[in-house]
Amino acid sequence: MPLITPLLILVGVVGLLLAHAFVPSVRRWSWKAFLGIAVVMFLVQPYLALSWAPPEREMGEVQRIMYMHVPQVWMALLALTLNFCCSVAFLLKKSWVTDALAEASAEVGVYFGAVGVTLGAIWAKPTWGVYWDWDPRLTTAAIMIVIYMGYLTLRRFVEDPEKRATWSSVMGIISYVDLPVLWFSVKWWNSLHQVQSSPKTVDPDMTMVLRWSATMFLCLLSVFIIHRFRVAYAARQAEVAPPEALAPGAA
Amino acid sequence: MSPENRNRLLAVGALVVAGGALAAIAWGNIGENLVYYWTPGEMLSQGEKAYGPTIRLGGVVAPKSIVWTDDKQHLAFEVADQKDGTGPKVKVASDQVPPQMFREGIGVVVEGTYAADGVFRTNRLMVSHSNEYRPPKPGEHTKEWQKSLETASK
Amino acid sequence: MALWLLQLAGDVAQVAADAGVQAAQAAADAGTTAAQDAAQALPPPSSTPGQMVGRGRLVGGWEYVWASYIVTWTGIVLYALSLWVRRPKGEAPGTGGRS
Repeated sequence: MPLITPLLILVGVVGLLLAHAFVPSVRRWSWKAFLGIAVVMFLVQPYLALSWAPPEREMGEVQRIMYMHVPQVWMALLALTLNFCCSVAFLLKKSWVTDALAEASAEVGVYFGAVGVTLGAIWAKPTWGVYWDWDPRLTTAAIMIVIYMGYLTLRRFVEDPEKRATWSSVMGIISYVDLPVLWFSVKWWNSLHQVQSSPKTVDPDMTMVLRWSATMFLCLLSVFIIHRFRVAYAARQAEVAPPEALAPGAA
Repeated sequence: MSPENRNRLLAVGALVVAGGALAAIAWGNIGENLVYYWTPGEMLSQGEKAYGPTIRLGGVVAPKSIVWTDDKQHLAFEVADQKDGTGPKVKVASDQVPPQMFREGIGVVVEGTYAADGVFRTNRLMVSHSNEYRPPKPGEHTKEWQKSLETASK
Repeated sequence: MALWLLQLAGDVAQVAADAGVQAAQAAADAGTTAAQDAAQALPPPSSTPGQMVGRGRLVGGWEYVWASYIVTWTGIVLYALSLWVRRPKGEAPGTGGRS
């Protein structure tokens, strides 16, 4: 398979995401397209990651965890960046769409963050020799998960939709401080975690599999956020709808 | 104040707080107080303050410095600032089995105590990996090591 | 799919074989300088921790790779299930509900 394949698929997926965002008629079927691409890519990924890609010179087979750990952490950062944008957007212009999207992206971000950090710990044991240590990168990742779990708790405890949306937007903006710190932690401070790799420091075959996995998880992220958004948006409409509109649903 | 204006003010306020916090972490003194590990040079420059408390020391395993006890239970090596072993170095004694990737020239972080005798004693030895990911060179694949070792031992 | 499963089965068998060969070899070669020289020149391929330690190469560890896949797949299934359970009830029931 040509090494450029995952990049081409990624371009298509990003195009579809933009269409989803700006063309309402696309929204009815786009999640099925994301799911379809994700399923096909998930079926091929184990072959690429576990057999096709070479082992790493020093880390051997264990390095293959990279193809699962790195993209899922990226997805967490992406989802929480979406949460930040929605938080700002809600305060500038009140909308239940951005509020529901903020809720959806925060939960999916916490999900991917938790899985990503777990996988990091699994990778750390054979390479570093320990599952966990409080180095700056791991600490800021743990803070990220805890803060956004707090964010979700805040949303759950505030009954009034307007107050909930407003105060969670403020919390969403302030919580986001942790993400640039997490990203640059490996450059700013001494850490056990290595600094970011780039295509220059990674073998082209490995880069290809990493991009494949990232595109695959991006499709999965889209499916998750779209459906979590529907849950949140339906709940919001039920909350802010006039009582007579509520009655048939409650009956 | 209308709710819209109040929300806009909240947005500006939250962004200012967030930006200020980020700037303080990035360029302020907060970062300097958060030290995950000291390099040998930094630790030695602390003088007597480094004796006693549990601290982390990080650097590179100095070339040709690894010494094992006969029973392979204990190991001593030197941690250096520089990969070639020049510059400040600290002797480390470990009673922990190191990770497989431990070798001369690899990055390590050790947690333990430094004493006046100039030896850093640790029971938590961690190996760090660089951000480079390369396939094995010809002859480095596991199965090929196996063969060469079998041939050599015949 | 069958291809990589086969290949993985092969790898697993190889690891098992390596371990067996190595144990026998370790017993036979204790003290032979030839083997020690070879071990100096090349990182030993053994998967027994005692000999592998401090050689700068990580050998084996497939169980960690599998664990990462199990965690990921389990997470995906559970989270997808939670989304399905929480699907908006306004939609027509019985239509599959993959909302």
